[in-house]
Amino acid sequence: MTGVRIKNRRRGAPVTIRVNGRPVKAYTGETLFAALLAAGIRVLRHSIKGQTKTARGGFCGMGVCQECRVTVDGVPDRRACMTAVAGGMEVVTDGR
Amino acid sequence: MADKRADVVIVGAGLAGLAAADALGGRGVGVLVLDDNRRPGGQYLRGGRSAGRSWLDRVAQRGLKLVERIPGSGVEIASRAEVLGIEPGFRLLVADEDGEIGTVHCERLLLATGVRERFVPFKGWTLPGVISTGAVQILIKQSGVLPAATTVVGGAGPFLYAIARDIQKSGGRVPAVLDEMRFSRRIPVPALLAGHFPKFTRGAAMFARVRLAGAAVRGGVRILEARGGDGPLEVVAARVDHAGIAIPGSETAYSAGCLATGFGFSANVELAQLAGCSLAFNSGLGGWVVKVNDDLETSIEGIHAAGEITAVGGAAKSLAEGRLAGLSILRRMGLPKSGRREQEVFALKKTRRRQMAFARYFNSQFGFTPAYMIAWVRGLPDDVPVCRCEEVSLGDIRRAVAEGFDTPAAVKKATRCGMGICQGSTCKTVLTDLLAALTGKPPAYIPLSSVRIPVKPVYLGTLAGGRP
Amino acid sequence: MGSKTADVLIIGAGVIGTSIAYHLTRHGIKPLLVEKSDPAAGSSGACDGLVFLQSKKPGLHLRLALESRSRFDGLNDALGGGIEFKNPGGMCLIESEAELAAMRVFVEEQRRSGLAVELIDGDEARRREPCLSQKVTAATFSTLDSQVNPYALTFAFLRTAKSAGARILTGEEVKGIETAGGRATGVLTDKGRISAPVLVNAAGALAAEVGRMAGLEVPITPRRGQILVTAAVPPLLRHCLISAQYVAAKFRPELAEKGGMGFSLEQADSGNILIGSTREFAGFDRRTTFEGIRTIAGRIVPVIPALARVPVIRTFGGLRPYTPDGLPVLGKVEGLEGFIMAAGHEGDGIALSAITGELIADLVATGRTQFPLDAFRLERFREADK
Repeated sequence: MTGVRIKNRRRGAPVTIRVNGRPVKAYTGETLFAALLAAGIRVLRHSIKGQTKTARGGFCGMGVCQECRVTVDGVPDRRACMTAVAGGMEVVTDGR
Repeated sequence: MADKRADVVIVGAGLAGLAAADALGGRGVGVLVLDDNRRPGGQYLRGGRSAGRSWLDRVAQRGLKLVERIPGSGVEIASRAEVLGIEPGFRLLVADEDGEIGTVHCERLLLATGVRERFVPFKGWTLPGVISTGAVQILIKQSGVLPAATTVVGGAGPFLYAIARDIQKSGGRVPAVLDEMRFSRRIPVPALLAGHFPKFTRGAAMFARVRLAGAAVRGGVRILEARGGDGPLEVVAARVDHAGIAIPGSETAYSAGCLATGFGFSANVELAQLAGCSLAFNSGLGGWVVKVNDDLETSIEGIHAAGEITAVGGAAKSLAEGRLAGLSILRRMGLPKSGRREQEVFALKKTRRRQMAFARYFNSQFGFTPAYMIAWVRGLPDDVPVCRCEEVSLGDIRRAVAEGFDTPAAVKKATRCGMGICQGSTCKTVLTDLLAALTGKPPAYIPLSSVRIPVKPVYLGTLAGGRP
Repeated sequence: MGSKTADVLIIGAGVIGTSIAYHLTRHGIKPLLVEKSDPAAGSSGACDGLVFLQSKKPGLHLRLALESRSRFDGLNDALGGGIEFKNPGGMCLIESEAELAAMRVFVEEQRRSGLAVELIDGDEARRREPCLSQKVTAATFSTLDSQVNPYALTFAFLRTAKSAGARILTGEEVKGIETAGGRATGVLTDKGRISAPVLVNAAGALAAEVGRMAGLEVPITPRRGQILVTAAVPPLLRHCLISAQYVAAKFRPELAEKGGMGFSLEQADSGNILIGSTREFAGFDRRTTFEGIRTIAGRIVPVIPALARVPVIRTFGGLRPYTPDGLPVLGKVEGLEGFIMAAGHEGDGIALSAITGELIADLVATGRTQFPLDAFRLERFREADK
């Protein structure tokens, strides 16, 4: 299930970021969380308890719940909802 | 960020913080506003003018003007600055977006840290396709993105309708709005209606438009479960009776790309608590809030509080309180008395009292009686996740309570609930509701867990003085 | 307000009090614990879980710790599991020539007290613990060093004691000690009277206050240790780690003055890494400070650089019950029949909990202990003053 970019919205300049090695289109001014949703990427990591792994994605959207953690430019545990996209950004899901 | 000094530091550049900064600006007072978002405006003004705001929304228009006016008045706004802690003096430990740490010194402090959302858990609420109503609003306003083409909105309270409307106006489809609260609870007493007529008119209009745009709007309905893997979500909801018990056989299933859920708001009182400010639990004011006097002074000399953290009560209250706090700080700093200012303070206090009455109504729209909560919690299965970070289930909590662990601090050690990376930001209010329901104690008697620095995660490398 | 009775009343349900309760039930005695807050709400819930032999003072202290350590091997099974006891071995990290010289001497003393310690060079240290940087020039290694979950241990002692008939009152604070004719007769709490002919002061950092209620001067003062807790991360540390500085700060003041503060680390079963610690006299203030946490972070990142990108999610301050000579106060007290001391373990409460529980329970039940308690008696401080 993919997120949808709202029509007729003023957007910033288009940029390309890389997610798990693959190029993804985004626009300056979007959060990484938004750009990932729009690209159909909503599983950002897995929660591990014992042997069970459950898929997780962003939840609160405002930097509080810490669910949307991904690795950005080599630094793990960055909150996608608090990170602005930038051209050339390297994102890895399940980063830690 | 480099170490800084200011006469007054304001934490939070939402409506309250901005209004206070505006009141303080241009008066020879050095003001620094610290805000963790990329742009000032808090939640209410997310996305600024490009997010599209009705010219009828006077609060938003005033807020937007504040944002535009402030930089000219000698007030510095530091965005992407996360306050990690406060020490007496005052000293604030702040991390910037590059992962560097600095200390800010100030004489006076205004805490205007706003709210976050609260939740009642249900099966499947941790699935990637389930996000909070606030997150949907931020996605739409800040990034111009809908989480999915179709979104079911469910939970409790009037915010559901605002989000449903935001989604519809953005071209998304809302099959249903599922509200635990019954519609009969929505009707305000005549005096309140008269005093806040524009708010209620707008609310009623929004409600009507949500339905007209094709959403099935249902009150007295509870989300039982969200199911789904990679594909669409299935949201199962059932009707609930007046006692808070789900009615067997009344289940309906909805299919959507996303479920947006929310059950109200909780004040971000952590920094205030850390600084030693007295808090009070008052369900009419939105739960745990910072105690302030008429002049918005907290119990700690030199610290004021304004906005949602004094009582969850909406944007107009935040604007009024922000300005009132700013003027109160000026008076405390010895600015010469002025008749005009005294008059304005008098008027603001009157406005504030009116806003507090609305706040009580507003919070009643998200509140349920203790008996109702007991029935609600009793109906939840053991495998409902409570602490998302540590995968602690309701069954784990029930077992801990049965063994004699009945305070949040004790349950935390017994189950790890609240020990994860979010440190209880999401599950704190859930746990309070659960413990109140499971022990029969009023929520006010469920003690708060301690808050320690850092109030948000910070890389060790940052703390060590470098970068991560 | 009712009146209750107990054969043995234990003040404080931390790791010491609950261990004593457990060991008493093994003698067939059913004690009553009176706890002002919740089990492990004090220092036992604000510490790391190191069961570290290398940090104990050679001589009596280390011998007591070795006894305690030997009890840990069977403890998990005896307590029904869940205490997260692990024995990965421990390293004491050396970062300078001065430290190395001091540690050479220390190692000899440790060996004489019965602890097998290996001295290895920096490269060998890094081979065994790859995350260590070049700052580590040497290390000492002990296979006995272990770790446990301190509050899980406390709860396990309590749970097992309760299943054997021990009782606990929580949220009830002892306000007074009742005595008559040189004998302890009971306590007065904020909820009523409890008669008991035997009272055990296991109140940790608050043991001095409880002692005062009995007319005793107990020189136990709180010494705060701040600890950082990281987010859970995949396994990074293979061993429990302390710095030679840590040992020095406890026993060799001259080493403590040079270099920085000592540190200690463990990675818990949950994956969180606990990094300690300061040693400060700050009254009963359990808050952490900017200075404390930044100092700890600044100390550890150069030694384990991979930690730079690990988030700290929580910090806490635990109050170590400090005594002037570094030994706990254990045993009967002169002039007050029935009043037993079991507190003052400084930063070694977790490690010494097993043996303390056993010794105090033996003392109460049989009047005799396997290990002589003379050196731990309260009166030693009065005698030292003379």
